[in-house]
Amino acid sequence: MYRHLNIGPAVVETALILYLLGFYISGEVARRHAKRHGLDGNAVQNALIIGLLVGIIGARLAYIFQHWAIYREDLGGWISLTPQALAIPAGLLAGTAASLGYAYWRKLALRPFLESIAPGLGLFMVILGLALLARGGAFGQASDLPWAIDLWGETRHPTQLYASIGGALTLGAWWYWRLSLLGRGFAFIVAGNALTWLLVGLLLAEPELVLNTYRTLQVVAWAALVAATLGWAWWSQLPYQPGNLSQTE
Amino acid sequence: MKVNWTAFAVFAAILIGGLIVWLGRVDDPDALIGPPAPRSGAPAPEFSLVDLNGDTHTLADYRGQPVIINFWATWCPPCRAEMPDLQQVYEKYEDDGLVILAINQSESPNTVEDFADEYNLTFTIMIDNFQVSDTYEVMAYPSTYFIDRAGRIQHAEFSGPMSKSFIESQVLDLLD
Repeated sequence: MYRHLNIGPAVVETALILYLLGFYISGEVARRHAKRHGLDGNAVQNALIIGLLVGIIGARLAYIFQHWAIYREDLGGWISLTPQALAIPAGLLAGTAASLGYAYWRKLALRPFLESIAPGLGLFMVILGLALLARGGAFGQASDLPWAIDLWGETRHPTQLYASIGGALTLGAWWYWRLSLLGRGFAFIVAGNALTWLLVGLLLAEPELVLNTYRTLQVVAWAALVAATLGWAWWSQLPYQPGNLSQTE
Repeated sequence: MKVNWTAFAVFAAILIGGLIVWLGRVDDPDALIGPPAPRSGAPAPEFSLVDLNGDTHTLADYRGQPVIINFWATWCPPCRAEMPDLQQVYEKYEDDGLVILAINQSESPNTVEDFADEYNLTFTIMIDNFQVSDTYEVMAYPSTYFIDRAGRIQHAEFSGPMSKSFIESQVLDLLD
């Protein structure tokens, strides 16, 4: 685990750097890839940047509203740089809505937009596993396998690396079949990563549970898998037409 | 008979996904807690240290009370910045049983005492010779652990300075 990096006099969380690096690379990949789907690459990248910014602001506002009694008396706390004062699920929802809203406003058709960001999303999921490893998150159960890693006082399954490998295999499969997956690439990337996390979830030791029994991460991955499969089924019946809304309508 | 592969794929995703979730179910959540470790959800590693008055404090002494462990140093700007906020939160919730154990990193007692006087700090301050900070895998200052009444780490914060609101929000979660 490499939780911190020393950059000059500053100490920075490694995971934060990896998240930002992953976002930057994903945005660049989406920008370049958008042209193949008849979209303005800069508009696609802007949609992602706006999603990130609104996501961060939304996550902070949601955290503030959850602790309103405290924050209403401390306006300085609203803009403090404490990165943990974020309600992540609310931020993800706000960021996704903002990205899609901006894409709609710029008349980027949904399906080509999602196809444009698919490989970037796949890359981000690979980097996400490495970021989780750096901060010791999503850690595995105790194991004495030769490739087990020393983490939190025990040798454990490197579940974060399993997730990265699953993400890389998904991305590789998408690349290999990218022509036949045209129009369904986004659903393929989401389904591949959801299946990865469903399986990785079997080895997780993190005690985040739904109904005090089922692993939260697995339940979320299951929902994503079903949604991606439904998207795949829906899009399989429709011809794929690249371009923005004015071109497709 | 023509097979509807699309419907089959959706049905398989629901069924196989549900099966994997069911296989991953946890019958005994306490079994996932694991050994003491400096991470959220784990029991906080035990330690004993002597404070500036010469009294010994063991973490286990405070079981049943919410505890904040703050690793800090006088030369660390974010540590200095968050100290007044820690003090204010301590004064507000001291009567609710809040304990703050501020663990200084190997500085001289005189330096630490002068600092405590300058900032009017009334919570417990101890000096560590890197043994406790090694146990807690402290790699940057300040590092702060919020520990609930059961002795489990509810939140670990490795950046600073923390805002007063953030500290207070975490303390309220511990008091719930």
